[in-house]
Amino acid sequence: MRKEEIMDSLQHLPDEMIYQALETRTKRKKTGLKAIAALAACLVIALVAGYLLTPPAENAITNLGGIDREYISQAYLEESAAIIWPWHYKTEAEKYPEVTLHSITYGTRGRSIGERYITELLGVGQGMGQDVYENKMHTKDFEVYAIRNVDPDKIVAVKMGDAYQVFMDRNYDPPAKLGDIVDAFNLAEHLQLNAYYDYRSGKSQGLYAIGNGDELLAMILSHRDAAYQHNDTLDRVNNNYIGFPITSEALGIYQQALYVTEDGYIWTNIFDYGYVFNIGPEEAARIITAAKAAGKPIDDNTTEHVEGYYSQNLIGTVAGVDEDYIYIDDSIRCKNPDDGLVFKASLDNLYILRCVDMLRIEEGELVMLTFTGSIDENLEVHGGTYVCHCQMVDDGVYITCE
Amino acid sequence: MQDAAIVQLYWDRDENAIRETRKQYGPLLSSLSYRILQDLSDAEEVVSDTYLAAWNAMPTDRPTRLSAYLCKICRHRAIDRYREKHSQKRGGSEYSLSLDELADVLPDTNSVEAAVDSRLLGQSIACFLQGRKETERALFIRRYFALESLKEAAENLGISESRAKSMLHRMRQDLRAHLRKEGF
Repeated sequence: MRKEEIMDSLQHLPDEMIYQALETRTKRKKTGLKAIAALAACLVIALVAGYLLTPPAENAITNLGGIDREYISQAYLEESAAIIWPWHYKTEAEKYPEVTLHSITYGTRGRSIGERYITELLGVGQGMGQDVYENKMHTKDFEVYAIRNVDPDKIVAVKMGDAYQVFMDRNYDPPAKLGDIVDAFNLAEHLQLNAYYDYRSGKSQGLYAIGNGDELLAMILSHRDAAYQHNDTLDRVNNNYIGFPITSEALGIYQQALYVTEDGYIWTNIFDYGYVFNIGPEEAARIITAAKAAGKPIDDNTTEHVEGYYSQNLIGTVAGVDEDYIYIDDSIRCKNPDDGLVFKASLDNLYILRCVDMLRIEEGELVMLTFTGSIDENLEVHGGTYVCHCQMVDDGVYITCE
Repeated sequence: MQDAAIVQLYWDRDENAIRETRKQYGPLLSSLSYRILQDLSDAEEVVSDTYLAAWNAMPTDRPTRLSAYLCKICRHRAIDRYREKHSQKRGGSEYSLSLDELADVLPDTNSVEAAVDSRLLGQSIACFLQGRKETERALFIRRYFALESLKEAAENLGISESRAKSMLHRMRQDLRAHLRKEGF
């Protein structure tokens, strides 16, 4: 009966309290621009998604931004919130996702590019962006540069602040032949093959290093006349294939893939859309055989870390947030909590500041900090890109620090 | 139509009051009632009863938050109906699931004297909720007052289901301690 008493007593909660609790949903369901503008700065537009981070092997040494850490085996669930950041929390690249130059509208690839890839100035383009909170359009001029040995009608670098961002022709049509993208984007220079996954009926059988993959890349790209297939889906379940992870700073490609399937196709999503080219089963077999001859099994976790491009995750408890830094203590991940270290990330970094502010990250909460830089001797994490709440996953039960 | 205008219709004994109420809050009340009863015709009957009860209560009542006011009536009637129908056996509805979750919040007792004043208990829970974060408070009310499923409540608040589950678990533990301290 006692539980019924509790249930009945809720009838006496104040109307205002009930109204506010129910109203939360009403606010979130409004989609009009005025409604969005009326919401507080902490508006989270989309739902939270979870990503399971696989645990390292028991007591494995993890190199975290240059620092070796020995963590216990534990899986975590990242709570990644899809947020439309208010205008003042956006970087230049986020504010202006489109830039028009010489009648070509380029869209952001969402990746930065090092100065070593930049060649001549092409002109000054007009960036355009929308503040959805205020329902206002903004324009701004940016210098647009060519990328080394890449067709500037297809892909360019836009100088935003001190950094260059990769932008691609928004209206780029699917190529008729493989040779078209090989030439336009200079794939021979800007793609590298370092490893492949072997898939049987869609399931990975392992990761294999291939050392210098130039010959293999040349073999693949040599099928210049391979015709573009209008069906861009890949039947994973009924197919055997090898998949090369593809990352290219010059082309703004990050962790995409290129597959060669036993039934004779090359499939890639390096430019976000699926592009499929028919090379025939014999040629595919030749490539797959060559890859397997060169392949040596490697541990998934030992993939080379390239500072400034691949991201790493620091998971720990928020030890504090002051005006300058967020402090994250990783002792929760150590066998002996005394081995824990307190790392810090600067709130001068807009990517970190906006997460701390808008996701309301507070002391005592379990968080994950994603970064692409290194950790210095003062345990300061550089190159932070995101920080969010996460959960420890214990035998299928989520233990959270909300 | 604004709440105040609808309430005025009740006070004016204007039959449009019920039509406007149905238009504004029909879906909210139907879903609340259905979550408890898991039976469409029963749920609709309870919603109709709710309109009638509101008609009879206004005047003299003049609620400022009509949605909360109507939800209270609807919830109360739906729970009564549920108890009538399931005096022997229960299961399946969000009401019974929520009830199970709340089983440990008040200490077990067989003493008749221990039966608490529902209003005082409600006030004490309100005090407890007042001290929690907005999301926690909304989650608790959505789950145990509005009897939304865990998934639904979590989605409405933009948090993961697992996080909602964990938040509620912790809140129930804290509420138990709070009520014990308050002498319940």
